[in-house]
Amino acid sequence: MALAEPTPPPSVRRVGAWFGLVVLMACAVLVALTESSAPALMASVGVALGIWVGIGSLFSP
Amino acid sequence: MAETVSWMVKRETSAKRFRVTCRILRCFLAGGLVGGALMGLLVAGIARLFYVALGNELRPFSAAAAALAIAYLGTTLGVWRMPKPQIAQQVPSSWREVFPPGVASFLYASALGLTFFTRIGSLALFPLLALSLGLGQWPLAIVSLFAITGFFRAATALIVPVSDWIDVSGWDIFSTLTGQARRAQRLESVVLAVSAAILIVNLV
Repeated sequence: MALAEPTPPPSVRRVGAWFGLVVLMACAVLVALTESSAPALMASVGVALGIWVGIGSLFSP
Repeated sequence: MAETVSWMVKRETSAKRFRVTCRILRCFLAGGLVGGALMGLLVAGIARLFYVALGNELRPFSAAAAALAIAYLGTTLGVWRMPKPQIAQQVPSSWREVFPPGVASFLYASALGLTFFTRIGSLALFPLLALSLGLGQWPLAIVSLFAITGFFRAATALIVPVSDWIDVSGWDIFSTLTGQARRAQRLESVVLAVSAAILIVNLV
């Protein structure tokens, strides 16, 4: 039985756009919570790195 | 992971597939969150020791994270090679045959959430660890960071229903994803470069 043609996966560019949006939102929440201090900046960068660790691992199975 | 989700759904009858897919994905997300939070607890414990020993010193950890981001940026650009310390094990595929789909999915994603205890492709993990170790005064922030990491790692399972990959073979999924690896590596370079730049600007 022939399989249906699979839908193309979301492009890396689109994943990147979603990634940027989620990181910005998470950082905005962190900065609001900690009033723009140094730990908030570290945590914000950490959020960006953490989300990328999650998503990026998909492409190197 | 995508192959595992597809494999577990594919063996169900068509009538049950939608319900099973929803259950598997819910358990995946919960497992990633729990596994990540557990890893966060472990890192928070070590960070607390640094905090007790050194006090609230953010700059050395911020500098270390920037240095690691630059070092691993060089690796992604092919300039030099850096070690990737991790326990490079795959989650045992036998779980999906032994346990019901929900339990297997939860366990599988929990193991993925434990980051250092399974093979992980992204090099951004190492600057993340350096940053986290500097946040010993805020253990909840560290637990949250790793819970987010585990959650997003598990959430990549959503690519199966989004891309309609239920009936696609594991090999096709594997080759499609690895086919995008080069572009993903470029995006990783951007993430590492921007992170390093923000940390350096903050240090200066």
